[in-house]
Formats: sequence, C-alpha cells, structure tokens
Amino acid sequence: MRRYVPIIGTHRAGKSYFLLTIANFVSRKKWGVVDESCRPYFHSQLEYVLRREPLPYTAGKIPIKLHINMIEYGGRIYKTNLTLATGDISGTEFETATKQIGYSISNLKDAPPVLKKFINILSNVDGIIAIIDIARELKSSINKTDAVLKAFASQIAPVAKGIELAMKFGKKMKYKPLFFVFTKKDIHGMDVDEIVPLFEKAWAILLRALEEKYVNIKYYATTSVGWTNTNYDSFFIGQGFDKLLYDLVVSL
Amino acid sequence: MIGYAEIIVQEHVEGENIYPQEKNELLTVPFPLSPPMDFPKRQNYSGIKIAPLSSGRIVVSWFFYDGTKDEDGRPLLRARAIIAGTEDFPLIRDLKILLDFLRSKQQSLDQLEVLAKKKSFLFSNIAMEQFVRELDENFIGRVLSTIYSAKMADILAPRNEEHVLRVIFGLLPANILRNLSICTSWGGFGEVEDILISNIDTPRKCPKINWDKKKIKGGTKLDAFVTLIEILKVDTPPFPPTKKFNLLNYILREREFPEELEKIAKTISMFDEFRKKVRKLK
Repeated sequence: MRRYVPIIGTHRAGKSYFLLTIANFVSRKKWGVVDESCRPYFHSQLEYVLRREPLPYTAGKIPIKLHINMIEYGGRIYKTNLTLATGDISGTEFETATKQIGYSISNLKDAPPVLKKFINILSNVDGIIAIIDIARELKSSINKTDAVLKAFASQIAPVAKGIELAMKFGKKMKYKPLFFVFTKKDIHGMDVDEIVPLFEKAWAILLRALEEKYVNIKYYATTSVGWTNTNYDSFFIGQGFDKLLYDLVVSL
Repeated sequence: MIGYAEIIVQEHVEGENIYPQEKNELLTVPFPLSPPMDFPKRQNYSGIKIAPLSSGRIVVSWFFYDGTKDEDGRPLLRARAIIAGTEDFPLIRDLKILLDFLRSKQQSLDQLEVLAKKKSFLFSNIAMEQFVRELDENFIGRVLSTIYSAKMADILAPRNEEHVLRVIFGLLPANILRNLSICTSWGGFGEVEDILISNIDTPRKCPKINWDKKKIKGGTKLDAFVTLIEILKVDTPPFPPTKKFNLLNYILREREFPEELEKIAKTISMFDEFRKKVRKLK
C-alpha cells in the first residue's frame, strides 16, 4: 500500500532535518526501511549532521520513500505494510508557487512552471505534513507570544495557500491527516499545549474551512537537532515522533 | 531588452531590466534543481543553467560557490545571469561570449552587445566558420533531432560541457530553447533539468547521448537538422555564414522562404531541400 504525504513549509522551516530524523528513527527502531532510491540523499546529509554543520539548502524536489512495517506506540504494536511517499521540497520554490496562485489558478495549462510543479505535487495527496517554524522571530521579539505571532505572519500565507491548493486540485481530504509540526523546539522550548491556542486564533479561517471538510488535524512540537549526542530512544519518544508516526500510519 | 541579475540562491536578487514577476523565480530558477550535496567542499564548484521564466523570457546563468553562507551558516550558491526574450537571442546565442561576460563581472550590458556584434558567430563570419568547421553534421544533426523530439536527454560529456552547450544553444530553434531547462550539474539524486550535460548518467528514461563516443541511445534522426549543419558548413555564395544562419533560422521558424531567397536561384536547391525537410518536422 503506497500513500503520498508531501511535506510543505517555507524555506528554513526545518523540513529536511525533520525528514532525515524520521528516516533515521524508523530505521533505528527497525520499524521499516528507507527506499534504495533515496538512501544516497540521507547518507550525504549525515555527513553534515555528524560534523554538526548546517545542511545545505534544498533546491528542487527530492522524492523520498519509506517502507514501514510496524509502529509501536503506548505499548501497542501496529503492523502495517505502508510505503510512505513524500519529498523534500524547496521552501523557496513553494513560496514562489503560492505567490503565483492568484493570477493563473483558473487556467492550469498556462500556469507558470513552478506553480504547475506544485499543483502536480499537491494533487492526489493522501495527507499533508505542514512544517511551521515558530522560532525564527525569537531574537527580534519582546516575548514568546509576540515571536510566535510574527513567525505565523511570515508563514500563514504560503502554507494556507498550499493547503487550499491541495484541497482544490487533490483528492477529497475527508478524514485525511493534516499534521502541523512546530519544529525547533530546542530553540523555542514551547509545548504543543502552549502553541495551539495561539495557532487556532491566528489560523482560524483556514482551520474552520478544514473542519467543514472533516480533515483530520493534529499538532506536534518537535526538535530534529540533538539525537546524535543524547539518549536516542528517550530523545525520539520525548519528541513525540512515535506518536506522530503512529497517528500518520493509522490514519492513512 | 536584455536583463542582468546577480543572485544569492533563495536569498537575494538585484540587477537591471528584471520584470517584477521574474524576481521570485530568479531566487531559484538560475540554479541547479539538485546541486551536489558536497558543493561547498568541491574546489571552484560552478556550472551553467538555462531555463524558462513565466514571463516568456529565458535565464542563462553562471552559478558558483564562493563561500557565501546564510545567517544559519548554510552554504549558498551565487549566480550571475542574463535574462532575454527571443528577440534578444541573437545577442546571447554565442555562449562563449556570454560566459566570458558573466564571469568577468566588470562589463555592462552595453558592452555585451558591442562584444556580441563584434565576436559572436551570429555576427562575425570568421567566428561562424570556426564554430561550424569542427561540427560532424551526422552526429550533431542527430543530437539536435533527439532534443527537438524528446525535449529531454542526458548528455555524457565529462570534459567539455561548455562546448556541448555552446553547440546546442547555438543551433537549436528558438521556440525549443524557450521551453527547455538545461544544466551542467546534478548531485546524483532528486529532480533533473530537461537536458543534463555532465559526467553522470541519471536513472530516468530518456535519450542518452555519449558526446565523446558519438553514440546516442534512444535518439531520433530528423533530416532537417543534418541538412542545417551541411548548409552551414559548405560555401554558399552569395550568403556569408552569418547571413546564412539567419536565413536557416527564418526557414525553421516560418517553414517558408523569405522573399529575398526566392529570388536567388543559384543556391536555392540546397535551401529548398532544407525547407522541405523542415516542413516534415512536427
């Protein structure tokens, strides 16, 4: 069973690191295996991670496939035979495409090349993972609430437009997972319970529209940095990666 | 109107004669879709990219790594690029001139025009003769036919990517060039441009061209392109090479003769043969 769940987000939101972390976690826990086609990509990324250097920027789209056999969460084992197809997508290209939506959405044939590419990526999805970086405005803000709202300000338009694009051109999203992942928890230090009330206020228009369509919305706060030098299992379980994977697999 | 841009990938664009809707695209389009992950560690990493923009113009860029990093310390590529519409193609067709311009940095767009009109094979008969002299009409004709038909190819040319690109960019019809992305660099995974000229064979299904061995797998041969090179190579008075190139391009575009050619009976048979073959192109 193959399911396609793209990961979207603006540039520097932490999509590449998030994907690498998931791939590493699934492999290490023996829950599945990364497809041969994308293993070289992760091997190259690990060169940077292990040297504690930042990953190079993502340019186009790197297709990623994870074959998942089982997930363990809350003492329960869930067996599956799922190929999770996703992709590491350039955040800048994503932003460019969402800026082009307005003037050409009615005529796909004449849509600019970048927008056409994203319509292809976002059509026929079985779910979406949206990565939101709430740490990017911390330095220039008076407090955490201010920083989170400012961070939403720079991401709400592209991310919401991307989700609307998937709703418009994709399969029906009824009961499909739409997971919002707040990355860089190591920097902002906030739990999901603290972030969600702010998120629900700021993103109310989109969220209400998604609820109307019975989209399965969930929230996670994670950090992808640090698993190389801390207790591996406690790091991942503490981050909720097992819950995220469990929720994803059972809802697909 | 030719545009010029200096770009830091995904971060910054500045230049002249850039349309507002091109600015966002220029943050990514002039760079490889999948650069090698280790580009910061490679010595003098650089390459060339040609790609269409939604404005209808194309961008020709020389991208390189000079140690630039973003605020998170991520290594970033830079590029210098020319943005041109089909009406400007004659001034940028000779890639040798264009790349010298992009690499030198100091020159202005006016100087590019002066240089092109003096040294480009589209304007200088000597340059044109030098350019076509070495071309093997059968092989190059098949390469152009293959790209024209498939709109996609991997070209294995480990030592001479720039020469290969100069030939292709110099000879392909403008309407084909306007819609193709071409690059000389690929990192080994992820998206690939329509035409990749490098030392790597991608796993995708498309024609494979080995430039050094003059072999093409999955290629096409269209007689019009072989004849195009034949005409360029032979002496055809009263047309000097550059005039001839313009006529051939006119026939490729209009699939008809210009009036002045109709009047010249002496060389018409070869051109007429070309016109008949062009008409067969789909």
